[in-house]
Amino acid sequence: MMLLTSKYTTSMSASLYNPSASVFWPLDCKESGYAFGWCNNNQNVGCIVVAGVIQLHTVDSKLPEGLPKLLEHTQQHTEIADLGELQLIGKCTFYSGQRKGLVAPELEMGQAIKYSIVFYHRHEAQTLRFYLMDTFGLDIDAFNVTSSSTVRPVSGRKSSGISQDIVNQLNVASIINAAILETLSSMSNATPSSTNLGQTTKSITARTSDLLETAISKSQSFISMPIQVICNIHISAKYRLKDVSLSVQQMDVRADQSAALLRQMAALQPRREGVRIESYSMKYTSFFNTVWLILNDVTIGYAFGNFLCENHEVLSGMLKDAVENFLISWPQRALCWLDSWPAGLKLNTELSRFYSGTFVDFVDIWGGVLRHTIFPQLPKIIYIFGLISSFGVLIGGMGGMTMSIALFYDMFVVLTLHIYVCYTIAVLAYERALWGLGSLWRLFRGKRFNVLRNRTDSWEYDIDQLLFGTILFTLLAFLFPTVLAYYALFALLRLATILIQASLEIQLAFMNHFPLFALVLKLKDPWRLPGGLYFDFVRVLVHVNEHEAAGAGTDEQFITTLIPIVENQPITLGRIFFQYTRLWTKLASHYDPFRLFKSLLLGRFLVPIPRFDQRDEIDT
Amino acid sequence: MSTKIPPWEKVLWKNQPHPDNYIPEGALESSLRKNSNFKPYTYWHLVHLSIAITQHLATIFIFLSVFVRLKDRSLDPRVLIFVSLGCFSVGYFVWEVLQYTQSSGGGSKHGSKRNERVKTLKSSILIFLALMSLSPVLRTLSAATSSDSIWALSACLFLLNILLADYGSSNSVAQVRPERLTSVLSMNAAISSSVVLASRLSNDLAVFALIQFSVQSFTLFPMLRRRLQVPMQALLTFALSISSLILAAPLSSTIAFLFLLVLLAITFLAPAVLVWAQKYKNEIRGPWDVAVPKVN
Repeated sequence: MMLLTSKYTTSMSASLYNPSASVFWPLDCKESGYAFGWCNNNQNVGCIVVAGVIQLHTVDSKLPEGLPKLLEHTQQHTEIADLGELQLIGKCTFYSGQRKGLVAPELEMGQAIKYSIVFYHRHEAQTLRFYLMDTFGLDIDAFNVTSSSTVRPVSGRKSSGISQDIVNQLNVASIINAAILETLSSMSNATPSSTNLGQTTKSITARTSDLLETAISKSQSFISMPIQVICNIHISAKYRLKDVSLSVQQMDVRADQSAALLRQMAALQPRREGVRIESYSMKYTSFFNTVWLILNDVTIGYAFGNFLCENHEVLSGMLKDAVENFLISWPQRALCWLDSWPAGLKLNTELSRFYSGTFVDFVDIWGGVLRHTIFPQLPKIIYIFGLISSFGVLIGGMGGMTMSIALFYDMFVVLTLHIYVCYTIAVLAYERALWGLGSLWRLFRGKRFNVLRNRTDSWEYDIDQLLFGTILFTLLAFLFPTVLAYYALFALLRLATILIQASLEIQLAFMNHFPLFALVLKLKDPWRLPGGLYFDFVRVLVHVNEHEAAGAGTDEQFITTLIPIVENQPITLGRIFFQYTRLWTKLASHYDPFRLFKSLLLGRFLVPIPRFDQRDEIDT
Repeated sequence: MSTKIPPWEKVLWKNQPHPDNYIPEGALESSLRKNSNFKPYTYWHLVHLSIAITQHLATIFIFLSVFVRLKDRSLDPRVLIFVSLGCFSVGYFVWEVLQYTQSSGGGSKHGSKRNERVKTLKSSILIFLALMSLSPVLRTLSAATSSDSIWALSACLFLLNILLADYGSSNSVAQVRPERLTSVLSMNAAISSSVVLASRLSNDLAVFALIQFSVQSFTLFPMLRRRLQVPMQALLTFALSISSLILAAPLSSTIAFLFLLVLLAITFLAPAVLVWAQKYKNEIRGPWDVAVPKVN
């Protein structure tokens, strides 16, 4: 650590300004007394972290000999033994002067070692503020808050004098200090000591009523668990029920979330000793994020559900008209247009008539099916959607805006099923025609595709192969424009449906997993979302001896200098959203316009982004 | 004091007093040879060689007149089918005779001959059946395209066929070489062209007849042509040309006249031009060119 020294300090006492040990001193500790803390030897650069000061007036005659025993006793009770041994460091003195300002203490330690002071903020435990050496993956998500600590040791920084162990000690200092003081006060008051650390920190989620907890656990066992089991039933070898329908997946997500909530509530209740504040804070953030998202969801869902319920007649009429217009009659008109020399293009009459006849009949059949089964029930269906959206949360938490988006998505898929089937037929024909044309063109030129070498070689064909191939090539070349025209129509329709589906899915993903809590926390109290450390400098007064002052040419008792202070660097927006940037790149690469265009040209089957890919992104 | 400088020799193993880049006077001009491998063309030899082109052109003309007649329905398709069947059998017979006479010296393997015959039979049956099943489809292939584009397309394809055809002849005892690349393309072009033309016809049977005739003329006939001897070739050329003119004359005398002109030009005029252009041949070979071995 480098100190910026002012020009007064060149001849100052060597103990302060030739640092060989760094002493971390809590900023809010201003009493003189006995200092206790941890002594770390970090590769010959000693770091001493002072957790607190036992004031002189509370010490009676049997201490300071009893102080080490007291420290040991407290340390055993708080189960923070893995941070190092709590020791008595030395005696510290604050010289109060007439000057106003921050004053640095003077320490007398056992051995006369040189030291330099670094301030740090000693936060109370219930403010949930802490330091962290490096950013961790802030997975504000119900799925993956693990109970193990995610603070991993930072490599390669051992020699700089501050490391993760020291930071852990800094975080825990306040708790230790409170414990020591309480032990002292209880000893002096001769009341039975209660080392229930949980009492000293308010348990935050004790405010959550037990009723809610029992409600969630009951619903979890009766509703969510069976639903999750149902959702994961395999329909075929690769697809589970939840991969087919988005509503089922949404129910599965919600069941997962409620299970995670339950787990976390148990973990957050009352604050156990020995729990690291970092993982506690993370669990806290994630728990409340999920709760907030669900509440948002339910609120918006209630409003939307009311809207649906009130207007279900009108909406169903509009939906019917839209489906009739856009999905049934427009494709039929387009197909008839293609049959009759569209834009002057002369397509092969027989093939064109065959294609358009087939597709028009198919669309007709599907329109008939829709009209007989779904359209009569459409008002009721919309009413039920509205009910689910408003009140579905009562059934195990499955409801809200997310559920209604998922239901509309499924309905859209069902309504456009005929486009999907026609597209499949058209793409098969187109791909076969394209492939056949390519292969026969090579035969026309007398070449063949060598699969072993992955290139085109010349090849002697037999006479009958040549003849047959040439005739077929001419045939295909004349029929290709017709196939292409019909394929283009259905490919465009399919592209449109996929884009609509993608936008609905993205909306759903945002409503399910948005890091709302972290964002608001960043605005309100960035200390609770640490993402690193930095050192700032603060002006302090240092008490100097007379002869040192004389040596410097002044006669004042205090010299101002700059001392570093450890500050927290809040987490960046990029880290909060890093899962979303990953998801975005994945979406962008799947729906890249050039890739879509190339797939269209080559006749590949267009699919929306597969669900399991999307889920893996969010989950990991 | 004048040391006689020995003349420069083009050897590397002697240490010569000349500089490294020394070139004696007149060395460059004397090392160049003009037209060293020049064998002058003779007229009749060229005429013999151009017989192949004439035959090919005559075949195309015959095909075109047959097509026009089919389109006008002045030729019954069944007649055409029988005629082409007859030609096919005659041609096959000639082929067998040629094969027998030309390879009678060496030990011909019976097994391979039988294999070849079986293969030929299989191919012909296959083609026959395929054509018969595809002709309804081929008839309506280009119904929507206007006739002008069809004529243009067909002309381009025939041009490609003429340019890329294999006009060599093998008088040796060796087997027929496998078709070279360019000749494959030319054959395919001719077949495509005939398919395209056949789509203009109105009758399934006519389509079948025309395509079968074209397959025979452009695929099987060149193979036979290559094996014939020289006097037979001249006779064949004469017969083909006369028949093409006879077939074209009733349709349009202008066209027949044009056919005659083209055939005569290719056969007699073009070699004359080539011979006349010999005097402008100026090929310079130097010591840097690839050496041409003298093979006796």
